[in-house]
Amino acid sequence: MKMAKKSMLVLASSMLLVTAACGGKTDNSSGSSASPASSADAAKPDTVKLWTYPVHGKYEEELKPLLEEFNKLHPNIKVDYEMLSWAEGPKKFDVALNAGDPPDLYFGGASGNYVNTGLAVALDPYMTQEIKDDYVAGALDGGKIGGKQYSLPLYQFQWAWGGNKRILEEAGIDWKKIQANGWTWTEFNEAAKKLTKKLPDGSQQYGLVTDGQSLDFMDLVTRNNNLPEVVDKDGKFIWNDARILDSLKFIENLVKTGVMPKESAALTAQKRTDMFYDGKAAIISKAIPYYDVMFQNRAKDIDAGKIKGEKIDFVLLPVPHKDDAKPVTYMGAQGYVMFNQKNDKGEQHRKNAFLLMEFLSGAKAGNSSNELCLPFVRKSQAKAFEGKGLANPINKTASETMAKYASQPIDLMISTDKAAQLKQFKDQVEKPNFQALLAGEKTAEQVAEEFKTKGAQILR
Amino acid sequence: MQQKSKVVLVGVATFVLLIWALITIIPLYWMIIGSFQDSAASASFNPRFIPDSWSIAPYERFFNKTNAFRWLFNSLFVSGVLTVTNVFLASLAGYAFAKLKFPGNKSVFWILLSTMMIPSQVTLIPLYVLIINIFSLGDTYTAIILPSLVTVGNIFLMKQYMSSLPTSLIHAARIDACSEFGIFYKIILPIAKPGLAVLAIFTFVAQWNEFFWPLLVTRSSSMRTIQVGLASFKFAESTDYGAIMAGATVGALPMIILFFALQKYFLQGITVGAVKG
Repeated sequence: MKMAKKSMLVLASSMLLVTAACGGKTDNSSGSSASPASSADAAKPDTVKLWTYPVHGKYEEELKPLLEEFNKLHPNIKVDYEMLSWAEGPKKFDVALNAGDPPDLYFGGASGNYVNTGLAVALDPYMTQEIKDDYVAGALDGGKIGGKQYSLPLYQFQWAWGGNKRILEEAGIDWKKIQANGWTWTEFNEAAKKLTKKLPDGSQQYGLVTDGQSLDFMDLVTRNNNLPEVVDKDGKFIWNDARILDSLKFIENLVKTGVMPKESAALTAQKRTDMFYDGKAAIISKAIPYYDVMFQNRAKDIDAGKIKGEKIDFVLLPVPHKDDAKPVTYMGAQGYVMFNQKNDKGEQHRKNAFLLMEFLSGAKAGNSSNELCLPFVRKSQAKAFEGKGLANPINKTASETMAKYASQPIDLMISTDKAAQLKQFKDQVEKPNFQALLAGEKTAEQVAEEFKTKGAQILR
Repeated sequence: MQQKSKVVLVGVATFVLLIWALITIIPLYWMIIGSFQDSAASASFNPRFIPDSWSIAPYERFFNKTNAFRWLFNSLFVSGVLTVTNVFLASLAGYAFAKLKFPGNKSVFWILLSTMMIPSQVTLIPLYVLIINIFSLGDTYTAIILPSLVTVGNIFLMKQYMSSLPTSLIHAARIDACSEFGIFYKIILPIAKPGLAVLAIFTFVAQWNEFFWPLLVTRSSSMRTIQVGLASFKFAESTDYGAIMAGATVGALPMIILFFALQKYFLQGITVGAVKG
């Protein structure tokens, strides 16, 4: 019986320990009701929940002082921030959004799916003329859906390809000319033949390496064959003619000829980059201008003896276009999106969240464009950070040249219902078929036919 | 002749098992050598099974740049508490379902069992709403622990195990006027040790490796478990494989120690219910 008492005591203690350890409860602001905000409301203590990502290598270092400064300006607004990981953050956000409890501010692009939940907040009532005028022409459009502003862009992303300067020059490829004038699929295929070879150590050097886990490569190739998206800006399904078949044949040929690894379907973005580090990939898709900084940092680490490997000179390259199609550079905006929760915290809370949103996208946050080697989205940011960029001037010029052929994401122009259908098509039809094409399990014709039939069903 | 073929058979079986053992040990070996190399080498497309050079830099990055000790403590704490609660509650429930007669015994057991058929994806959002929105328990140990205090799978395992124990011992104890809890504590628990050990190992390992739920309900770095913490070495365009491998190696140590410490029970427990008539 004594033993029984002892064991009960042990269990009770362990339960107590659990309870004691559970003290640090989340600070959830109850918020006020949706009544008109007064100046008294504006001074009330409030907590704004912010979920963000390491936008660039130093973003968290920059964010902390920014938040401290914001807190000095608005001592009643506490910012409860969480730095998510790029790998798992979207899943966490997805659960929170579906549970009706997304953070007040989330870093990402405006999305029709967010609007469909009814929780994304249209920012138009909070945007002053001063804010609108501060954005460079067209920059705000990247955060609009159906004409309403849902995101305040922090920077404009740009998708391109990237090359290893040494390998390109050894193969006699005039990369400067490509940067200046672009290139066609035919020109790329000729170059790729020279770039694909067995290396002296017996390993294979590939002309082009992409990851098969995302649809980025498909997006880039099809956009450069007069297909801005699966649907056009009116929401009409357009992946049903010779253009999509030609794009698929182009990809199929790259695998068949060994320009791309036959394992492409299984390659992750990280593996693709690692192959580039390892000198096994002459060109990678996709690349962003920020890679310039990434490779510069890596070279510094190699010099410091922190890591081993070849120092790689990164060359930003435009995506080749079909010979009779116009070149296109895929660009869009990334920034903060505001959300309501099912348990509405009131108008003053939204105003407070917008204050933070504006602060985190304003002049003092301009270094993100510098770090990412991208054009500034706000005039005030350019004023504060102009000339402090980290990009290699050659790649900076190439990025600016490519920006002349910019194409905005179509999903911002179509209805939210159509955007949801588009996502369904991409998840259920495009991705498995793209991977089957890369793996050689389906031919370009079979995939095109599948797109045509399933697209007609889903994207009616 | 028969003797000779038996020797050949044993030889072939040993060879096949050796190869199999080698295959299963490769990921472990890869993790350990990867933890002593730079990130590019540990994720190289052409893997080198014997590294060119060794470095403790990944361990330095893992321990110096993060809350690694706190993550390890959190994992130990959460897994430890859940092992205790699961062993205690699942063995009690298992005993009751296996040996006690009460109205609705079978129907309650089957209702419980049927909840195992519901995919976790279906219950994830309601559980999140309950823990985060209704109880406001975000970023606490309670949020991580509460949903797994006792699992139906463990109750099922213990019910099956308890069913294999002789009922005559329970009758004898009742004749000797032992209380129901006394029977459970003095008679059943000592003879159920192998089953309890298996339950403890399985629960500890499962909780140690749990990733998504702690990710969902924790916010601050100091509340992360080791598995969630390791994910923070993945960045937008790069992954610090060296530090991840170092963290995974450190994280695997308690599992390896636990396995060897309880190996005897583990092997006994694998056959739980196997000879039940």
